[in-house]
Amino acid sequence: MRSGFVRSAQMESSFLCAKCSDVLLPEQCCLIHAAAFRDREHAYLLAADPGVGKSTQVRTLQELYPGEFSVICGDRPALKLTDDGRVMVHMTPWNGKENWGGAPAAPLSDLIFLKRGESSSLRQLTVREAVLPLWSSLIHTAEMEEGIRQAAEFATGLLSRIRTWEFVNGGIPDSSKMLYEQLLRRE
Amino acid sequence: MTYKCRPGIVRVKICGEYLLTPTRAASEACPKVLRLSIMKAALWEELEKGHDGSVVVRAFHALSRKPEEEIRKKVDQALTELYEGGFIIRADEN
Repeated sequence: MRSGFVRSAQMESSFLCAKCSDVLLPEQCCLIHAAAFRDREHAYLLAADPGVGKSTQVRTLQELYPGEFSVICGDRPALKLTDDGRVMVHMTPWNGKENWGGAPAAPLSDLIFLKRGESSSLRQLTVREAVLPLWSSLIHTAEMEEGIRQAAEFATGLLSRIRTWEFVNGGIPDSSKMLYEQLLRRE
Repeated sequence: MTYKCRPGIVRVKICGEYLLTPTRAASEACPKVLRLSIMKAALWEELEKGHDGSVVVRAFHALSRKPEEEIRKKVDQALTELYEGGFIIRADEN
């Protein structure tokens, strides 16, 4: 994108979002393309390519388990690595076409990479397996090498603090129930 | 053929995994991100220094005791893959 030339409001929003991340990275904070929701104590991220069904999954969870889940940020939340070893998930203005968000910040428990498939499954990823999908979800402009290195440092810090999962959606609402029973339900 | 790293391709390390990722400017010619095998990571390090693959061939031959010719074929293949992916360019290219 040439300086001063913007094709659409969406592109402008994406560029601003990435620029925001660039500014935040030196503070160990970064935006990520994921739906962020929370229960009473923890936050969860559902990351996927556009159109795969992040919003549908979150909406289904809210319908199936009323009052248990609220949305922190529907599209591009901010993650902050804190000095006490946690990852805090915060709302940003980029909360998706549903304009979802507003729940208070919460410590991140799990990052879930969502895919579509024939049958539903949930599998914990190794750190090695999570590197590439996480890298493609983090938001920054990549204009400067220094920014890229800061993003890589952030990714390393993030993966050392949370669990990551591959969640295959074989059909709503059964997949949502499976996600809840195997991961989200707290006794 | 001798190669060099494409300007704007950055090698990063995330939790012990090496990736090649482009800056915005380099992403037109090389839009992908590549996870590096041990051999490609070693190759990239030598290419960054301006060396060719022969250092890597010797190092892998010393470590693995496999025939040097066998190692050389693998190094050449890795270089071809890096070139076809746009991560490296010919040494005489700009």
